[in-house]
Amino acid sequence: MDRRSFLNLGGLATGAALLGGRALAASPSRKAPVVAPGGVAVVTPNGSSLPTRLVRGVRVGHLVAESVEHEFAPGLSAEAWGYNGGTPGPTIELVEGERVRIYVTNRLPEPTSVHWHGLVVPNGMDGVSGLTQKAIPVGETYLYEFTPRRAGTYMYHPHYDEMTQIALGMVGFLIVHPRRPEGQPVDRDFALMTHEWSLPVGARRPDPLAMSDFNLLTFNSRAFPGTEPLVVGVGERVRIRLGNLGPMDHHPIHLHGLSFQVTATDGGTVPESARYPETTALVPVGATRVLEFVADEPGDWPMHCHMTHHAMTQMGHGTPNLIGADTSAVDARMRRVVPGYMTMGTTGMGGMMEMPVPANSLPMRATPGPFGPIEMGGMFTILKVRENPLEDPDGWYRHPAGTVASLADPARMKADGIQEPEL
Amino acid sequence: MNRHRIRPLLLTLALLSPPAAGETLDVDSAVRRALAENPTLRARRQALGIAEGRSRQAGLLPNPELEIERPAEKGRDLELRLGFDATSLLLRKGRTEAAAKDLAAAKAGIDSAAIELEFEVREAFHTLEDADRRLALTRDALDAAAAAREMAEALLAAGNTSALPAKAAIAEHESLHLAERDAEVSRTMALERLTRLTGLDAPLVEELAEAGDLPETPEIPASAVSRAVAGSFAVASAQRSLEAATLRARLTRREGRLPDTSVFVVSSRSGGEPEAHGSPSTGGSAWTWGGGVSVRIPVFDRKQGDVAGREAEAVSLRSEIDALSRAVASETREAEHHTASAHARARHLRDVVLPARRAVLEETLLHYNAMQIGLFPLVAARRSVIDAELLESAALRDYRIAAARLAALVAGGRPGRGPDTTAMASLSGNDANGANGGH
Ligand SMILES: [Cu+2]
Repeated sequence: MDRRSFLNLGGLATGAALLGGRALAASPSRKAPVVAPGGVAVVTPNGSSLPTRLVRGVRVGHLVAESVEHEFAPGLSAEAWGYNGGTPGPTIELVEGERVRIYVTNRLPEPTSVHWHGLVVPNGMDGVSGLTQKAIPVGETYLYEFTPRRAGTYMYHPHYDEMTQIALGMVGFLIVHPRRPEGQPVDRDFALMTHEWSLPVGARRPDPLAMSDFNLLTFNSRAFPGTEPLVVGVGERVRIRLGNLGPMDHHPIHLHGLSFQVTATDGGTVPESARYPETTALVPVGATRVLEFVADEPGDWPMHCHMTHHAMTQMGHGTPNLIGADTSAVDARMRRVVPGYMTMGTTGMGGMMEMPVPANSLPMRATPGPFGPIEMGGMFTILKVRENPLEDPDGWYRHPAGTVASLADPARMKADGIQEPEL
Repeated sequence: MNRHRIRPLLLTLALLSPPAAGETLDVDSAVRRALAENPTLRARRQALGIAEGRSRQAGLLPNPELEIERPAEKGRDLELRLGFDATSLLLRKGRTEAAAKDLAAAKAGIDSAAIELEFEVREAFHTLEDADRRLALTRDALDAAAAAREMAEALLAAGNTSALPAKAAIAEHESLHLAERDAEVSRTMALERLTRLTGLDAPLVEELAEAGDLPETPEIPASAVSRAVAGSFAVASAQRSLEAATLRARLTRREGRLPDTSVFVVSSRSGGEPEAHGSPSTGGSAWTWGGGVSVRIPVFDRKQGDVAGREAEAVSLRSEIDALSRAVASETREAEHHTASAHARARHLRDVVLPARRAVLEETLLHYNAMQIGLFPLVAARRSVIDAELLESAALRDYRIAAARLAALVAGGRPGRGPDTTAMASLSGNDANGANGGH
């Protein structure tokens, strides 16, 4: 399946077709994609939506908790845990007031449970193993049934051995669409889940015991350049639902080229009177933030966590600080001492291109961009604002002449009274 | 050697053309050179003349004894007496045989010494090979430590670290200078040993030929133990000495029983008037002839003490041969085992340990490239490879020496007890097994 065409179709029936055969086999009832009335389907970049059916007026879905072979970006894969073959799990879309039955099959090597994070459900459906239910034993299928009473952007995750299961990727969105349209209608609706992982370079399984040494930061469990861009049209109203079920970190998500308002959290809609414009939204662990904006300025705009170490990939912290060190002598010697030795990092981390690195790793890899290497990674994606978003979603923005920063003309500098400082 | 004399010429030519290839010394050439030039072996060969002289002496006839007497009696003016030691003549054959055995024992000792010299040369050669490699590897390690030091000093100069890493790196680098000195001393010692063994006046100047690879299987000759015992020159030498002692015991016993017998003829001339009867007149004087036998009767001294001494010597030598055979068998078994285990060790280092260390270095370099680690662990990984290379070099040396020792044993030598530079030149008659038979 080509993710791009999935995106362009708006994810309507395609997502259901993706997983329907497996999750909902011999059901006689009709497939029922969920779309907000008068709105668009939610798109989960690099992810999917849970296929559901209406059976005698009840929306039925099936989650399978299981181990998944997951690719963070080309060149970096790992054995993670997730739902229905992926991490994050499929986005569950429900409708306010519509009864839902979600079956949960446990294919993990240990018990699990599902907690509907932020959603108010009957206490016995809250999914807290030990407190509100027995944990789902290995190999068993449990049923959750409730009626979501309030529209909003929620999440789901295990409430059994959370530290392990969440750290290994068992997270997902649960979106309840309003029964009747609310607020301003949007043209695009995206869902992005932040996460931090500890995956040592060359290793194949994330370490759930990590508490501070996270080296892999993701949107929807993908690290740039593995993140799928968000493509929107100029003047379109866009909603981006951000959720954070990472183990330890809050993420200030910054958008270039526009300002937005936070219109909702997992606690409900923010009253218009309480909204204010901003360019960075802090998404705390265990919370959602819904951003809305109109993208007026065309271009390729970064969207990333503004913690600099979160917009990098698999950085190590065992290297000495080489900035300013004159290593010319040692470099010459090291080429003799260790054949294959290459120099790095004395003028900053930028400019480091392809060097042989350990298998299954994504360290310091610069991504080729239209003007050179893009020295970003991790929790980083691109919002592509285009006059015609269908025309070239894979390509780079083509800048009008004279609108790209470039080498200054000395005559212009002189005319403007600018002198370069003496070296 | 000629090669050394022509070296200045070669150096002159080298100014005009690239250095001549093949200016190398291999172990077999070194052995040939030592067998021809080793001064100790030469001295020992020259000392063989002592045993040869004794052997020759034993075969010589006893000299006759001539007495001339002018008696005081009147009428007799001159008496001639010629005697000959008959006993000595009878014992001559036995003495010759015993001396021949002594000579054979001395020759076996020299054969043994040559084999032991060959082993020593091989041992010295492979020790020098290893010392060469060790010196080069120590310099590699020094280079690596210098890189760590330069990096630590650069970081300190840039203000990025405290002085501690630089001080530690300086200490490590400077300590390795001592290892380099040690390696140089070891190399000089190995070089001088080979120089002495090959009988040169000045140190070897050739490069050693490229060391061959470790053979796939250890070089262990079939039936090594029985061949070593059967072919042992030390055992053979002791056996010849035993035979000599046995012959001498028999000879002494015979000598004791035989009366000490001399035969003699006497002739005397009378002076003055002719006798009334007898010989025709010879004009005033006449020779009369007589003869006799002188016999010392072996009643009390039948050389019982000497016989007992000779017999004890034979018994002692027999025990010594027995002990020697057992020792050679044991040393050969030991050498077989040592050769096999040294081979296994060298192969494990070459095929397993070194590739494993190199794999660590390669992976460390990848992690360094990935900025997961700094330069210091990379240098440490290189040092670990060098350490494994040092072990591999020593293991290869140990294998070659063990195999050479085993080969020398099978060829009849007793390596490790090779030419003794102080005692070798002396070689006495009944001590033919002296340099090689002791324990
Ligand atoms: Cu962040």
